[in-house]
Amino acid sequence: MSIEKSEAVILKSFNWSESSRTVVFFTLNFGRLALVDKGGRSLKTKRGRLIPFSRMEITFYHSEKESRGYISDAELLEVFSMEKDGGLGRLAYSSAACELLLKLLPEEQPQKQLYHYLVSFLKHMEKDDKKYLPAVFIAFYLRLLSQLGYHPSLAYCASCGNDINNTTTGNQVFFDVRRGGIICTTCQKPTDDYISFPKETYKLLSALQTASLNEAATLPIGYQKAALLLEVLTKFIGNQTGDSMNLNSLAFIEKLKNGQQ
Amino acid sequence: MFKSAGSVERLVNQLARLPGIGRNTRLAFHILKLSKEEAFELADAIHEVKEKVGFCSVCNNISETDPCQTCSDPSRQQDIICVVEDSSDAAAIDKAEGFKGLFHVLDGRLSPLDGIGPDDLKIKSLLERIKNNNISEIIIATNPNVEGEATAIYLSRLLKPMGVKVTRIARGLPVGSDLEYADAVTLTRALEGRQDI
Repeated sequence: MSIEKSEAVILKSFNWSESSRTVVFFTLNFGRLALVDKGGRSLKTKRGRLIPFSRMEITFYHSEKESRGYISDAELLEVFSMEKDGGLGRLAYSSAACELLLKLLPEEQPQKQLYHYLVSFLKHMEKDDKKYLPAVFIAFYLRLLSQLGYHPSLAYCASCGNDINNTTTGNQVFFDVRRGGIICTTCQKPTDDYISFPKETYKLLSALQTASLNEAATLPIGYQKAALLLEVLTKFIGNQTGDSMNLNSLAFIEKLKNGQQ
Repeated sequence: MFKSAGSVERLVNQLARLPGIGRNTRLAFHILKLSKEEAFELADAIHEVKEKVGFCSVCNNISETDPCQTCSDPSRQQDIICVVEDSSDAAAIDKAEGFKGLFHVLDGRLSPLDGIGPDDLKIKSLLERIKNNNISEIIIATNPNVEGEATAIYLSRLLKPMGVKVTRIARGLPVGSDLEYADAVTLTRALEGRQDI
């Protein structure tokens, strides 16, 4: 039985008995890891609590008889509170980031840079003004895609490779989900399906692809614009992976918006 | 792998649907060893509970009558409603005997990860209760975790404009625990919620 230790953030947990649950972590040293938290839901548990959206140090072991691992200890290092003004948006975007990682991260492959990026993202979700949250989330989404090898081509035409700024005319820009990027005016075919959006929105998406989270946290994007950009990214990654990438957390934001109208 | 008669296999499969049991044949064999009367008593109890128990049309708690015993009990404080996620939470609070008001069961909590939004919870019926009755206080007793807190925030924003007092159950140290084993979040919450003695 080997005992391991790592810093980690919870991606999702599933209850599976009266007092236990399976918790999927994004760990610094081991990447995505599912562990059993035996008795963890009970108040009587002697070890530290597992709190979502927090940085914690977990100790775990793998039983020799079984393939699954068990958590033996957990210590909170930093808790990111999502209760500030606009709390539901903070919670929804933080959940959406975890959902994306849950869908896209390969099992047990360390992604240290991405782990630190998630931690900074959660810090932004805790502290930034709520009008900047969509831009910070889209910047995180774009960086995550690039780090995992799904870089959408926004600066250059996904078909001919020419600079989009020199080859696109008109006020609309066209994104080809199948080719994985923007298509210049010359390469567009009337028979192909594209997602079109105004050039101004394209410039925003392009800026967010290279922006740091601090830079993204200065860009107020309205709900409509954010929804359009997220639709592009969802369709793009869905096509790349062959799986539905519709996120429950983004649907939750939609439900909240519809409820407010 | 265990090879059994079809009926035993069926029993094992049905028992495996219960939480924390899995495909364990031990329970099925225990039922086989019971006398016919004992086994039928168990089957009858399951049948009866599914036939008789439903949901209270007022508070959405599980009940054999409609309205439930709590809602129709005149000795309970009629102007305070304690909002909980599930019937089991209402039962736990009732068992503690520290609360003599009414309940409202939401049937879940807001959960972005599971896609559970406000319309998936029994919030509209709560608003109706407040509008149609003389309610002075709503106690939000959702679980003290991220989703429970989000639900509490959402409800407080919805309810405060209705002119009703909205309170949240205290968060802090469990009775009988040791301070040195408490995590930083729990300790901070306990200090924030300190009271005069």
